[in-house]
Amino acid sequence: MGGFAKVLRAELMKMRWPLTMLVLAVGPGLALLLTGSPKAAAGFQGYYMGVVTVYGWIFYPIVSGVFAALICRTEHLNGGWKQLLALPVRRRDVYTAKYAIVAALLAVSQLLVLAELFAVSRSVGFADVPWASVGLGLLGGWVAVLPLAALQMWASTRWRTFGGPLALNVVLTFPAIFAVQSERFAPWYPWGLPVVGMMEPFAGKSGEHWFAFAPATLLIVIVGGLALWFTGGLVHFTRGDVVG
Amino acid sequence: MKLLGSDLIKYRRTWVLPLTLLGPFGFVLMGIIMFAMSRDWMNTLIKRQGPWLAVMDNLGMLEIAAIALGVALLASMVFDVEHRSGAWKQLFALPVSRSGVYLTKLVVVVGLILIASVLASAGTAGLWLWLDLGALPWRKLGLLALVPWVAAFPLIAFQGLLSAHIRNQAIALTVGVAGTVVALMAAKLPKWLPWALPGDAMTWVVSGDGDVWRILGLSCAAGVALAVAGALSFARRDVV
Repeated sequence: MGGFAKVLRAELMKMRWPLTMLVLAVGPGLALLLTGSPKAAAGFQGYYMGVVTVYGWIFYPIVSGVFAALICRTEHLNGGWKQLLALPVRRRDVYTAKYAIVAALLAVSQLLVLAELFAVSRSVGFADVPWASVGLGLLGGWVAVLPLAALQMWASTRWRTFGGPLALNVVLTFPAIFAVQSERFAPWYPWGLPVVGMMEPFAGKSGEHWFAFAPATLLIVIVGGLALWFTGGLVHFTRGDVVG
Repeated sequence: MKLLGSDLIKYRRTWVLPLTLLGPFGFVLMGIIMFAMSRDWMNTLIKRQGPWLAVMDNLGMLEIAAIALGVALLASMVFDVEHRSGAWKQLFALPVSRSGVYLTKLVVVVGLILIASVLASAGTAGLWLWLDLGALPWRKLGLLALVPWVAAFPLIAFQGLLSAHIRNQAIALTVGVAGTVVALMAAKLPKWLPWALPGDAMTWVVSGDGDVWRILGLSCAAGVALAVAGALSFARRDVV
């Protein structure tokens, strides 16, 4: 694991932090600006649903693609992949470290939303906020976004452009607008699952599930999608030719 | 014209054209899914509101989001072609006008969005026939193709400005996605946002509310002003 830790440290150093922070701040910022006045909302639950709708439905799945494209950017510029992979590093470690950072950034995004919810609840004085459900919802949203991030990493390492992988992500995220509203499709459409996961603990079904998702959704769509896309991207990256 | 021709060649074998076609295709596909999933509810709506309102209430919002995201992606792609290959230096070593190149790229995006919105209207017509909703509302379908497209001019100029001036496309695209969310979620947008006009235009096309000439005039004026400002500032910049 020594090699992995070194690669991870190097990857963290290469990040453009000011820009990353800026992108990170947009999601919670949108939630804060667009959800409307918390005082007008129907209690904390109403406010939480508003935040999740604004932030989780479209923005969160798409921003996973922005992070994945950002983390591959240094290498796509001026033949960086060749320089990086000419060093005595394992390709497997490079890919895993990059994916781990994307996953961590997506987790930080959820934590920022949590902080936003906390600050708003404090200032408005919502009574009896069910923080356990909030935590479960945000965790569920993060777990559901991991497979999407894995697919985006795959696309971002293969395509040199920023727009290509992101276009793919946008096109796939779009149907989520409708898929989430449908009882039948909501549990199966991967790009709708982050918002489903965030809403589930408050949708009155939490008693039925031991986690934010039904076991079938969790095992087949989320774990299956993650395994498929991560392995696919990793194998393609370790065995494939270097691009650019 | 020469600028346009040589610019268009650069987008062969890129995502630019597929995305332009994929957008309307996905739009129609979602329309079909929407109706297939809730046929009974849609029939109730059609009886209550008339077919045009029932269909467009949902699809209109979708088209606005598709236009906003499509503009962000396409504007980013046409400028990123040059950023990525370091081609600005080579391009500007030629006897071409910088602002001409900049404006050409905006015209390309304007043209692509026109293609996409005409296709989306054609797809809506197909949906209309498939659902057997009666005679095609030609005039409304024509306006659906054209009015939101004109209203997207300021947005095209704005996203072009971001994508041209900031090399790292993460910024332009994040702004584009965030703007789309704002356009979808906020009932009343501040009027000065470039995402507000396509929404107003769509409202007029769907329900007839609002002043269409004001929307069109404002869109053209703001679009041209932003495009010229972007071109002038771009022409004065150092090439990186």
